[in-house]
Amino acid sequence: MSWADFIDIGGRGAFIWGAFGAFIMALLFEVLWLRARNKRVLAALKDHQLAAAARGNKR
Amino acid sequence: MNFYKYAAPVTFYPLAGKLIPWFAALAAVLGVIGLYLGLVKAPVDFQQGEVYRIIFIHVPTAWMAMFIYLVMAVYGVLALTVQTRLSSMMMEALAPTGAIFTVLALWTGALWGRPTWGTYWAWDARMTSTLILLFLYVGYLALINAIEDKKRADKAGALLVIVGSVNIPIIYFSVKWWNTLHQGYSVANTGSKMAPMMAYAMLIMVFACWAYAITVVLARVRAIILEREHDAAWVQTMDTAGART
Repeated sequence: MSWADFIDIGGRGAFIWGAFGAFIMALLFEVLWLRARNKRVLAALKDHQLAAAARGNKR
Repeated sequence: MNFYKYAAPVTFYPLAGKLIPWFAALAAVLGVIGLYLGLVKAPVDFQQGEVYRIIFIHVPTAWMAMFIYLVMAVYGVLALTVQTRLSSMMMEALAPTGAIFTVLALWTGALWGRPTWGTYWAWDARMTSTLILLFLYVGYLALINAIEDKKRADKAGALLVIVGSVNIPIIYFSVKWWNTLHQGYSVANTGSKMAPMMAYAMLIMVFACWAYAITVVLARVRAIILEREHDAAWVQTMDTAGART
């Protein structure tokens, strides 16, 4: 089977790759979205800890 | 081993962190094997031709969409009765993944339906109840984000999810209860109607989706724990440089 045949998949390539492509893209999107959120949360927590430490030093 | 201790965010947070790499690796390995078997090794279906290969992602995503909602409903009951903080956090962590799987189930179903039934969409019982499931996920997320008081938001969200869980048996049994365009069960208690290679590929993809869902939900719940518990002593003293979710 050639690559062209594999991509064409019996003339149904648009439907099959449209489904599999969306599946991969959606999961990838979720992982990247989650990584960005976690980065944001950890940065906010670090700021929070620094602010708390600064308040503690003033006392 | 006392599993109840993991109901507390302080003990669950490190446990989730330890489990994530294992489930991520499992999801990747099973996903690659499942896609290879489904796209390359599984034979062509004698009725539907090549387009049937969409079931290798359509069925797992549709099952996950329903299963995640059921898990949310169980956490909803726990949140309202036992009132563990982690239950509400788990619901919040599960909902986006459940919504994504529902969108994928609808999308892949539409792409399968066009060449198989001649239409992308029909208002039949299975498809319509799955669309309602998507609205329930979106409705839950909108509700908990619309109410400022987190405790009230959690209670309202739990109630919505519990009431909405009546939709799950409707989705599952719709092909039996009504005369639908959607085909009946491919896998039932009596066994599979599919060729063994097709069934193996589909089941491997189901387990891959399970492992993926566990990975992202654990990662998300860790973020939610930090957001909600940021004033707790254990979070205040946590090493943020070493914390990777």
